[in-house]
Amino acid sequence: MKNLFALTVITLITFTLLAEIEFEKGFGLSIGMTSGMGVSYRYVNEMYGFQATYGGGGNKSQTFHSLGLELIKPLHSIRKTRFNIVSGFGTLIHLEENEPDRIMYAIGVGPEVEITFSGNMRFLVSSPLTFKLNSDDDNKLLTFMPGFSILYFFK
Amino acid sequence: MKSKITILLLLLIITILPAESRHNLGIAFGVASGSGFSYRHFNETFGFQTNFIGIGTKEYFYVPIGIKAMKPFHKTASSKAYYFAATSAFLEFGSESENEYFISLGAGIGMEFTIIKNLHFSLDLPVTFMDIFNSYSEDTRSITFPIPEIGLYYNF
Repeated sequence: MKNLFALTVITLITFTLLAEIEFEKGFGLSIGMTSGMGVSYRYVNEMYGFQATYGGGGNKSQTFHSLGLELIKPLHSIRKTRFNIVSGFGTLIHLEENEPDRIMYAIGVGPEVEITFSGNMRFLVSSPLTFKLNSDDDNKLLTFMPGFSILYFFK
Repeated sequence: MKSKITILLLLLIITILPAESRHNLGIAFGVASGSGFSYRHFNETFGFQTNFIGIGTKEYFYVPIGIKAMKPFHKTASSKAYYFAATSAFLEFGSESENEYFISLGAGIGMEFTIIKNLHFSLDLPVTFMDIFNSYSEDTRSITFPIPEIGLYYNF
């Protein structure tokens, strides 16, 4: 009971502190192994941020889902560009009738550049060092894998 | 009944007239709202878009046609974000065609921004229901999020 109370207090304090910080929020489209492929929501301020991405679909016989979560640490910023370090985890799940599930996992860390154009539109390109593995075979891959996003920011 | 319709029409005209009108012509590609030549209209409170093209040969001729309704929820001088809902029909004709069709529906969020001066680009991200009546084939019927839709417009 005490632990639950302490957890509640810590959560409330954290959210109160976060409310004091001015965040930028944006949505758009992302394509990348660690960022995931689909619609993204980004929440970032001058200190840190995160981005969540989902894309998926399917028909009667098969479905696929792409999920991604990235943590963002801004390092340098000038008027229309920003340099970040991002670390992310992405997964691509393919489910098919009468077939074994195929799941790809990717984890990576690396640089990202944000370029602002046309007011509040931003183009983001990253190149994290990515480690990829699959559920259905032993193939592993370690490489720099580019990712791209186009996001609309509310400000 | 006639007077009610007249009053409704007058109210509609009064509502629309003072709003700033924006007309856009261009090309668009998408599944939920169709592809081809596109007309997009925006005022302060709402927008709509129609897409149409006919392409093919005498044997196989394809006509994608679609419409989209939009409601902006955020604007700046050079960009806007909006909610939208769209529907399209993909029609197939021709002497060797089986004259099939499929209807798609979509809804989601979109953005439009200025590239240079009067040239605008739009990117829409809908959840798309393809072939909702299962009229084309078993494989075509699907739900996908998102199937991106893009457009390039000249703004008058």
